[in-house]
Amino acid sequence: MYLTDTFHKIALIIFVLVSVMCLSPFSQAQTLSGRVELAFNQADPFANYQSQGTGVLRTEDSGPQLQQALLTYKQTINASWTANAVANAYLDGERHLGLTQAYLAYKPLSGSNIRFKSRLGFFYPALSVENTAKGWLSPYTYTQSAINSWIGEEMRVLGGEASLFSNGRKRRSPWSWEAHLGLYKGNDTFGTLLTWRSFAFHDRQSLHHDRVFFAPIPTVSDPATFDSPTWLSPFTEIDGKIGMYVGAHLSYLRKAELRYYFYDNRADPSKLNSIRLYAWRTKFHSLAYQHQLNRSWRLMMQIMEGATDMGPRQVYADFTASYIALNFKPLRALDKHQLTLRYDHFDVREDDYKPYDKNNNHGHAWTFAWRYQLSKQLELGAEWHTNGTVVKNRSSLGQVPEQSQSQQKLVLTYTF
Amino acid sequence: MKASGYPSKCSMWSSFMLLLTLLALVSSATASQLQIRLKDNTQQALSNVVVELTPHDAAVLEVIQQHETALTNAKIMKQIDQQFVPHILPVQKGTTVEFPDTDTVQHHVYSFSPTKVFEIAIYKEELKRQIMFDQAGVVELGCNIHDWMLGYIYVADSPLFAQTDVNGEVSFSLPFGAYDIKVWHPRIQQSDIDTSRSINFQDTGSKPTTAYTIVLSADILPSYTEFDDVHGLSEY
Repeated sequence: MYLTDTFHKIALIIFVLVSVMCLSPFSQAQTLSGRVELAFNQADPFANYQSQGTGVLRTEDSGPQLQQALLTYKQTINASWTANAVANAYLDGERHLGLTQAYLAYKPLSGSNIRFKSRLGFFYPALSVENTAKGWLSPYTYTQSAINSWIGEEMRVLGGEASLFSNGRKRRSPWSWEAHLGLYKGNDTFGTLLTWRSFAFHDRQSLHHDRVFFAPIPTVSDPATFDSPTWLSPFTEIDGKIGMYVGAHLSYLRKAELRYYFYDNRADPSKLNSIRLYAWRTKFHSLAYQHQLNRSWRLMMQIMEGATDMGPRQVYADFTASYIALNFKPLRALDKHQLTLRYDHFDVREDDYKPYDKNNNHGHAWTFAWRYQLSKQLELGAEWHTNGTVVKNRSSLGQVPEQSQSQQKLVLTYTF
Repeated sequence: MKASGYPSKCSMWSSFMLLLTLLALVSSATASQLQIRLKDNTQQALSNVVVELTPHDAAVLEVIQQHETALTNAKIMKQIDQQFVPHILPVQKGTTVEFPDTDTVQHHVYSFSPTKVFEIAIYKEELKRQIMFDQAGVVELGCNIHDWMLGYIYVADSPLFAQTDVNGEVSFSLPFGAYDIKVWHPRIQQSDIDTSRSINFQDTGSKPTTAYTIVLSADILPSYTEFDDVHGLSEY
């Protein structure tokens, strides 16, 4: 009921398509895999956004938790087309079962040095070098960077992507490249969380029909100011306009890779829908880099610079976020282990007509993870995370803007 | 009157003698070895180069063909850790090659080379997919799922082919005679591949092995086997 008709219809078609494929007799052309992560969590009791607190972690609950439960499905239709879907189940959040991705991929065979491929449906632009495991998870840490925690909860495109790519090895060159153009609808509330909440640190991706709650900030819900729900449906279409992104990847052998994206949802900031969810015009540049330094060490980093506007200029903020991470895999006897250390930084700077609706926030975080592949199916891991954030609108709820949070977790993963 | 279509006793006898001679030469070939060495234009030994010999005497070829066919083993191009293994597989024309997928992921192997155009989807841990290569030439293999994967099948016209070892050397046990020599490797430039080379392999009496060295004229192309580094970037 919170989706526009068009979005609802397209989502329904994707659902039916994927469901029919899932119910069809299983053959080799279909692959189904899954992942379940059970965590024992030890976290600060400071209430987080999912409990309508102002904390920036996924949960303040300590004890056993279902961290991830997902199924990935791929159907090879013919030599050029595949259907892909990822279904997730969560015990936390507002929706517990749904899709995080569902798309058709077209990659026709060609002997040409420059080739074409395309995706159609509900998917992520490939702007992250961190989220490269199945189901858009990170193979390095459990708690994702500030940038990709935000991408996972607020960004998804419902549309199409056309790409040209060239494999260097085929051209006898160490350099490979890809160029992407995406057009989409249904990402109009994108930016709400950066200003009315803050960047956050978690691995809770939003489902296709999800709602994400945040703290009941008085200026947000006050009928005299924004009169808006203190939650959002992240993939809502509000103004009917088509958003766009362009991306370029450049790789040197398979050792180093640079990914640049410019994303602009082209939302009309003067529009809002019947339940008073606003359209936020959000655009950013994202630059991600990864470098396999040698057989053991990998360096990863990403920086994002952008702005979000609602009203227009009722809420306006520039934002910058970045992380740098180092991954270490020992050789020989210990090659089933890996360690990752990541440092995150973010800064959201308000510049609008309503300074009493405080949107400034900044912070940093350290995340250290150990993961151990016990067998083909089982993985054991542990993670330590700590962050320090200054979120100005906490004061409107009688809280100190500056907060520190930490969590430790032990995670057992089963994949099939 | 003799029935037409049957050879005369004389011609049968001479054919029989020729066959005996050739078989004797083939079977006693350990005493007549031709060693070919491959070097680049900086005198560095080149390994894994395919060397193919074609005898000028077609009758020799026919006998060798029968002899070699009996020895032919199954040819296999594996997909291990998202790479083709071996990187270069030389086979004789008419050979069926198996493409077992020992990975836990699907592959989609294809070729647009004029020698053999094909595409096959190979699902994880599937071991029995086969393709027959019935035309001589080079087949460049790719995978539509893992773009960096690259492999080659060299389809030889002659049964006399092998790859150079780490010292850039390859040996053939051969009947004496004249042979054309072809060399091929993805790093050897076309001008060197197209250069015609022949050898008149003769009994020198004293030495059991005759050595012949090929030195390439053009620079060899850079090696990009680092693409096969499985510790490299993953795709999403």
